[in-house]
Amino acid sequence: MNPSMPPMMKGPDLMSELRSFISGATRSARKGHMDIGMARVALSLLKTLPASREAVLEYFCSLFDDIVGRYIENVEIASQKGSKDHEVSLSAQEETTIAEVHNVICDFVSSSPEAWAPIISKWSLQLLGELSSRYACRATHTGVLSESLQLWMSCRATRSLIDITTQCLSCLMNFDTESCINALLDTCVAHNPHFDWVVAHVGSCFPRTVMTRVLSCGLKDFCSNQQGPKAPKLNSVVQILGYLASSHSSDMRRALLQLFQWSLEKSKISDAVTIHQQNSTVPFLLQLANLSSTLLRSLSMDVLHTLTPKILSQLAEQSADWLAYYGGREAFQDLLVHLVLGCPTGAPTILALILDCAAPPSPKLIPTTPEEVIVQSNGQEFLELLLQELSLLLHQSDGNIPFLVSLRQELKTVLPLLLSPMRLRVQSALRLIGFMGLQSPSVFPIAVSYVLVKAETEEHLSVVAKLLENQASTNGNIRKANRTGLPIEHSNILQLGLEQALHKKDDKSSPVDLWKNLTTLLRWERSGKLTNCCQPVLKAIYSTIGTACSSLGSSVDPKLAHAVAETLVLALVQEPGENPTSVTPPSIQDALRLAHSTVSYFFMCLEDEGSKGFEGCQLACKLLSRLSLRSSAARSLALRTLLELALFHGPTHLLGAKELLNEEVLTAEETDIRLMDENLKQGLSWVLAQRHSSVFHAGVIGSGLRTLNIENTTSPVLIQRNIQLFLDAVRSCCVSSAILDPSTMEPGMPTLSLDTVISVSLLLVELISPDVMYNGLPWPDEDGCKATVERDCSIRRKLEQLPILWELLWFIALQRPALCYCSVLLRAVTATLIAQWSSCSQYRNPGLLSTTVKLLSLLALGQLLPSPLSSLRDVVHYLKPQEIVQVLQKCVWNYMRDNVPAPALFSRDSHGNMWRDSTQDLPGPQYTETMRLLMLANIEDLGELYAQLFDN
Amino acid sequence: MQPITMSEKQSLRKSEFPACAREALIKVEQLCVPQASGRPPSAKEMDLAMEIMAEFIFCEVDRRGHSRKLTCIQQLQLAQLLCDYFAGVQFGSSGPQGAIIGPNGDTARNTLFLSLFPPTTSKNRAQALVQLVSMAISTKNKPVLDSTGIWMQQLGCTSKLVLQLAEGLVKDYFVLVPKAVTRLQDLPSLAPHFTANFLTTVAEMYGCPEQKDGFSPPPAALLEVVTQWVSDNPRLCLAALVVNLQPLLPLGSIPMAALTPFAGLFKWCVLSPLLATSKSRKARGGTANGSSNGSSDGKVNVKKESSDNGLHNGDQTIPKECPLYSRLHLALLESLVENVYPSVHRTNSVKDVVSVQHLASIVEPVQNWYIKQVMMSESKPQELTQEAHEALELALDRLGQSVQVALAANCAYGNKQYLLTQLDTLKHLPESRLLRIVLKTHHTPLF
Repeated sequence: MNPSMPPMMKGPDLMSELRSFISGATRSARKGHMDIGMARVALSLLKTLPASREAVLEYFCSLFDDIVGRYIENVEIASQKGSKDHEVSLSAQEETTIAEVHNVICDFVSSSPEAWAPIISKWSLQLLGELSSRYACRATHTGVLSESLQLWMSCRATRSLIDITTQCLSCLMNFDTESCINALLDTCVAHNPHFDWVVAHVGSCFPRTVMTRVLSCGLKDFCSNQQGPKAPKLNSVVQILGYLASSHSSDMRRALLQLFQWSLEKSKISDAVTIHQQNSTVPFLLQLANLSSTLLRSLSMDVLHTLTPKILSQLAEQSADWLAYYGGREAFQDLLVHLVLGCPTGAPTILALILDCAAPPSPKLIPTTPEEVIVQSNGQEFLELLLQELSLLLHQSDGNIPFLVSLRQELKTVLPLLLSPMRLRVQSALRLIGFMGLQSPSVFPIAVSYVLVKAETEEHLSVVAKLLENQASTNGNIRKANRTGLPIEHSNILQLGLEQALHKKDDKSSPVDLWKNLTTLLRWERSGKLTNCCQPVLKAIYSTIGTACSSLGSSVDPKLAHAVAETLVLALVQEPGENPTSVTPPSIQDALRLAHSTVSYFFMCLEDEGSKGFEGCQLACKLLSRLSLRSSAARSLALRTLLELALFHGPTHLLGAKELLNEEVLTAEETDIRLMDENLKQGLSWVLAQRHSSVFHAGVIGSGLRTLNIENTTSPVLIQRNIQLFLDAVRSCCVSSAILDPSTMEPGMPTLSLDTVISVSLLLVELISPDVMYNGLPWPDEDGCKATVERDCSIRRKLEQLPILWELLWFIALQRPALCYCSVLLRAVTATLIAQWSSCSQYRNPGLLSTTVKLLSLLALGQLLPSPLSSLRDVVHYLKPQEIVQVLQKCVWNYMRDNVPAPALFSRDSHGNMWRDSTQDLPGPQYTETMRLLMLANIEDLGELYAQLFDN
Repeated sequence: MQPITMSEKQSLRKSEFPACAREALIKVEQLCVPQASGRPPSAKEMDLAMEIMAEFIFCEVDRRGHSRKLTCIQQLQLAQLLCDYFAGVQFGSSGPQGAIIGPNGDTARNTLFLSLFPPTTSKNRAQALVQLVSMAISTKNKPVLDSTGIWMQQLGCTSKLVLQLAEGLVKDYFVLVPKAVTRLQDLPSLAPHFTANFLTTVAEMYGCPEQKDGFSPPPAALLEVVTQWVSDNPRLCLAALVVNLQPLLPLGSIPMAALTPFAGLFKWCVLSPLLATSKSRKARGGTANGSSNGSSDGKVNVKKESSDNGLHNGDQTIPKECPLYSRLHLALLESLVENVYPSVHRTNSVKDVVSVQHLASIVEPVQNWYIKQVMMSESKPQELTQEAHEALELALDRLGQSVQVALAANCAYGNKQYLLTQLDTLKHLPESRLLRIVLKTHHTPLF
């Protein structure tokens, strides 16, 4: 038993080392003296004397503490001197010591991680915790995480420690994560908040594991003894997760999702603890979200989207335990409301979920079982709470509410609710939109446009009205608060909404419905169903008249055009007796565009043989009349367009026009004539194409015979209808403003404006007569006609080709004295007739005769030929061509030449109608004698007439 | 000898920790160790001694009775101090000559040791004991180790405290610092009694059916060391039987019966091939229980993990089991034989080495294993895989050998009939020729 006994050969060696260590360690603890020799002794003890392990580690604690303390001192000195960086180096001795310690410990850990890692990690975590909380207040003044991270990571000692820690943890992570995360959390709790940088660093090394583990540890802590929100580790858990979530958000989300899904698993092996944890998961997650907005965001990204009513009902089974954590149902509801309002994403999902519970989307899902009824009533209650809280918040503060912001970003998910058959959904959506509108008024137009496009029933449309009311109240609020300073008017909202609806490139919705909906709305407005004084619908329609015009004028979509027309008619056509609106009428430009497109629309309808076309034409007429009354510019444009289209560019065949190959076609064919070819032609060498000498009645030399007119294939009935419609249109354009006021209307008063009809006749002259010269009213001498033969022929031919012209003239003739202005046309026809009749020998051309009759009737109708000349049309049937020539020359032409057909001949009667008193200026015998003699010659046929005319 | 009174505590309070512990040790020794008169200490004296130990040596409580704790360095200091004290190093010149020096020294030392660590030792003090013994092993402190050996035997090698101690030592030397194992090689020669008891405890620690899925095999390093010990020192396992404890114990104590490690170590050897197959089977079947949320104890995990590693290493070289077991088995058998037919002349061959009951306890786990294997097998009719069959054969052979040698060497004590009946129950297992022969040989007809 002597210390010097042989078996103890190595003993004293170790013992002396031990002694020197103990003396050194107890001394250094007091003096704070660092000695590399000591450290080496300690390390060798650690390797050789297992019993000394704890003590050696404890000694290292003080060693590191010393070093860090010196480091911090240096940092302080450096910062006092003003140098910014933390480049404070340790002494070489310290560096080597740390390196050696680090190496040895790392060797241990890597040699048998299962055994050493728990010990070392616990030690290093504890040490780090102590160090950071001890020196935190001295070194970092700001407490910003990144700054303290930089400070500590630039210290060799702490860096080594962190390195050791991560190495341990990476060993442990594989099989004993639980305890190591627990250690981390415990330390974190103990040294809050100075320990955060360690967690941050460690967490970034193993984000997924740390997150998952921290979550599960937190959950355990949360549900142990029903601690709930008072759980000690909760704050640390939140901080760590919050930090990690900001840098590893996808991992965070996955971890949260995993935890949540785990909570829903129904495992076969169900022990009470697990079940309790599963049941507490949701309150735990909610609590996390409550404490950290970052976590709330993460939570609202993935977990939220897995929620369905089915899962909710699954959760309901767990919910019995929940209330205990929050101290009552109301507190829990408050928390939920608060969380929901704080959700920066996923608001639509939440909303859908609540609504699904509160108001099932289809009647089939209406709850039947008592549980479902409870779910529903709870859902409704919660919804109400949520909305109330929202409104409260909005009226209290200006701050953005994340829920609303998120909802606004996903507005398209809210909008369909507006059209839901469930009242609750509609109302909720309306309120929400109202709330959103407070912050961004642009929501209203979007909503309006959505409803306008999608509405299918009147109930849907009534939403628009509610939206407008809603906005009105909102607007009031805004004005009060004077937030934007630019309150948007109702009409403006509707108008913006309408514009958006119109420009929405959404192939599903057809604009037809939109216009139909507009019509309905307008009708409501008209009938006073909309309690709104300033007629927003009308304003909105006026503002979009440009778009309306383009839809109206394009023949791509007849249905659309019809719908637009209907709306416009309703908007523009003021019913008799209606109060004039305060709404500013469309501008001149709009009126002109509208006129133009209405005419296009008219012709489009004309092409439609069905009843739809007919109705469309009538609509167009209504529009035209309304437009014409509103603006004379529109009137004249409409008239001109109508006529031009009817005569030349439009579907003339529908109005009975005979197709022709006109000269242009002929000339076009001959444009590529080559001189050489021409020269090679046999014949007179100086005969050139298109010279007067080459053009003959029957055709052009070189081009063969002139083709005959192609007969129109349109059915006469249809032509008749079309002509009537066209005349209606013209008549609509000419309507007099008197009809606006039916009270002053007396029977017999002209409903058409004479000036307009005159303008029609002038227009006709302009369009038909190719010359501008000699278009005046007077009829020249017969010889004078020779100068105008070509023009007369041209006019005559147009009249032949376009029967509608006759109808128009007829119409003009009725509106005396408008026909006077068509004098040139009549003159041309007369002149050509005279020429033609004279070239006929005995044969009475029926076509010629009918033209003659038409002309004479026209003259009579327009009161240009007074009685008895007005009866010539009945006479000519019995006359020979030569006699007809005589009549036309002596009676018609000469009379007209001597009595210039001028409006001055007409006088106005008491009703304002113009009339030529034929009793006053009877034609002299020099005009009637020829007629009388010819009648006498044919007295067997014309006896009765003769008696009427001359036998007085 | 002046009477020791309460005022002693006052005087002890005057000095700081390391010094006061030193002085307190002397006082405690004075109180506990019977003086020349042979009068055992009174109950009052023992109480005082206990209080002094708690307050001044282990510093578990302060003067007002509140609990406190030493720092780790101080704990180390205490361990070193105890080592020194037991090794008989004299403290300063003023201290009284320790009574443990001298012919009666061992007894006094053991008395003090047993008083310091009574069977009702608290957790912290048990920890201190581990540290003390661990340090004693490292520093080859024979007195401490001897006392520990006796302490172990007196408390019973399978008692909780002793198991705790063994666990701590295994952790120190075989798990954490395997490099320190070299220090253990001459332990059998240094402190055979301690080593033998340590073996017994360790054999129980790992040999018992700890969990439902089988047995926890010992760490590889431990197995290696144990094998080496047993094969190098044939009489090591008998060491506890050889020592006569009575003179070493405090006055009036009754020496406890020694338990040899044979049965426990035989169990290791018999069960190891079975364990190897079920492990490999498990590995093939994929990971069975992921400990994702399981709240399993860390320590268990560590142990399992290390054992896994050891076995896997073994798997790689020899697919069935670690060859060390064969060596260990052989060494054990040789030890038994050596006892009866000593190679070197010895006066006393020891009887009653192995308890029959103890040996028979191996039968049950084998049967359980067989039932489980059969249940797990997918084939119809249910039978063992080739691999399992071979393992079972090996296990039964080893069992047969152990039984045969134990019986033949006349080392077994207890009801042999019981052992044979137990072995009989293995009949429905695939037949082992050796086992049958063993049974046949020893089956004494009842009639």
